[in-house]
Amino acid sequence: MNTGGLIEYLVNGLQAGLLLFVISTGLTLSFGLMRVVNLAHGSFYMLGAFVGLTVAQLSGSFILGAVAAAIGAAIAGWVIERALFRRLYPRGPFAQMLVSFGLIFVFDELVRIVWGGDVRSLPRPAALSDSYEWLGASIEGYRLFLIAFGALVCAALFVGLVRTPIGTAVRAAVDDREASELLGMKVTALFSLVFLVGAGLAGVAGYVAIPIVNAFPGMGDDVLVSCLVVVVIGGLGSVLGSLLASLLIGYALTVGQVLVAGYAPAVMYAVLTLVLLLRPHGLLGKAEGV
Amino acid sequence: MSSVAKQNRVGLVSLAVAAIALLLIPQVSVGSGTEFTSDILIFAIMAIGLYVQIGLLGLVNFGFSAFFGLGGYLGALLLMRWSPSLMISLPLTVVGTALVAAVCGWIALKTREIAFTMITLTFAQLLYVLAVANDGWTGGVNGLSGIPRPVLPKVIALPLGLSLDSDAGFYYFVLAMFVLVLWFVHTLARSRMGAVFAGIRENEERMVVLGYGTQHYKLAGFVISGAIGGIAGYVNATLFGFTGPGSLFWTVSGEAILMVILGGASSLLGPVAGAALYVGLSHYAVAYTDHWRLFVGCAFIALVMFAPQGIVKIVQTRLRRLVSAARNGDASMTVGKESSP
Repeated sequence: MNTGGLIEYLVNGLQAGLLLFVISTGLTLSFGLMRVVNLAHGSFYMLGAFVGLTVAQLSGSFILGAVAAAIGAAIAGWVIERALFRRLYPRGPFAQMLVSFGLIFVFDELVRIVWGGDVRSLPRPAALSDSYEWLGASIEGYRLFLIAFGALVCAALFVGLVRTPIGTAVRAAVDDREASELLGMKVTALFSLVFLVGAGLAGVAGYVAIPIVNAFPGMGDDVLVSCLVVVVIGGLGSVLGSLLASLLIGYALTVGQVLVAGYAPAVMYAVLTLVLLLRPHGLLGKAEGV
Repeated sequence: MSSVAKQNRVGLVSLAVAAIALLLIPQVSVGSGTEFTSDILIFAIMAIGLYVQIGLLGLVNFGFSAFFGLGGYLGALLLMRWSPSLMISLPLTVVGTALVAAVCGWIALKTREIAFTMITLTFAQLLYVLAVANDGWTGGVNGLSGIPRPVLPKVIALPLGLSLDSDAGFYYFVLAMFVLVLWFVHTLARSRMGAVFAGIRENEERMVVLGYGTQHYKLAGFVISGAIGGIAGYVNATLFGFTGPGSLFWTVSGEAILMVILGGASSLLGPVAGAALYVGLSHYAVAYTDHWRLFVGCAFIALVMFAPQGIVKIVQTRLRRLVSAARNGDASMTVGKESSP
């Protein structure tokens, strides 16, 4: 493989990994906080994509579309958390899994009703549609934008979690929920916020992914499995772990694409199996907890 | 004593009524009723297979589509490429899915709880990816169509005058498989092995301390469950003459779990009732609207929110309440209410 090709794969893997991280953060945090396995997380990704697409087409502004995607998905997340998940905390992860599975049906069908069943695409914004040549590699400007976007979200999340009072509270609650509740922390209120932010992030990610993967009803179902893999590999509830896992999976998929074209996702599952066998609690997961 | 005897009698009578009703379906049903009932029975077989893990062992497997899909593909390939005989293709399909289940189970059972759930999901997705990518054998995204109905051995076919090519003939084949699987799992649950399964479900550490090799028992349950899933997949593929990668996708695993939980994972009736409700709901919703998934999804959410123990438990408590209310009430009421169910 020549240098140019190698650089292209490094860039594509990084882009895939960071985007996956942005999508799966909500899932990681909601599992870490409340042990909620939300199978409908991929639906926020899809919902964000469609809402953003519509707003972008109506207004002609890419940025306005992104804002709408975030707000739309966050509102959906907030409603779902208030109406359903909040009532299910005492019943354990199983009931939540089932309800969220039902939600996938509902969301996929709602999108089909409102937007129809077609595959839709969105052109890259003019400013980002160039490709750059560097050391023999041809790198799309849009992928660089996605990397920058992913890195920005990543940085904001870590600063938010480490430096702000709310972030500290979230980390404390992930670490030991009972103790935090005993100290008077309102963990359920915290969880609403985390759920809302996580849904919003998944929504924007779905929107900015359209120029690369297109939008269609059910687009979240594939992504959800990758997100679950990331959350499990990273160690349930660990944000840093899920960043490492996202990059690992991003690169596994890209390398798989090169080595065994059609079987690329198989590489991801091979990585998951290997990690779970060597470290049953994930890369950075705690042994107890689950 | 008399109330226990009475309950047994009620159970026997309802069993006999159900058996007669199921046997008469091809004679009395109109339109696609026979095929519809076959469909219910096939998904009931699948749900019973998963029930061995969820209900008996307490293992939440989220990759049951692996065995359902694999059974379909194996059966299709054997029937299309090797032999149209039932007695060759079905046993080989069962052995094949059991072998794959043994390998998957051996790896997956090294993990527990959420990790187990996720790793089983992974195996199913792995098979899905392989089925889509390897289009020489599996037909890729299009799947395999034109699968022939298996041929019954002459010893059985001639005296009964049955052929699996007719809807009624195939229905009786599905019914036979359903009864066989139901009887097998019923016996398993009451056997010594079933008692160990229950012990593992309630408290695995205690069973380990008591000297049971719980890993071996769990693996045995996993393999049995996988083989039953394979049977369901085989029958499903031969009913429609088609199998595709959709049968391996993770949403099928979710549907299988839904059936078990909807019906209730505490008794063998649960998965059967859950499968009937699921297939029935989607069948009738399809007739009314293109967007049936919306209503099915809402119905599930409502059921899980408001009826967590499953419909079988709910019906049982309702009936019991009715019966006891009737006993306390006047005699004429008793007759009316007890005969109604």
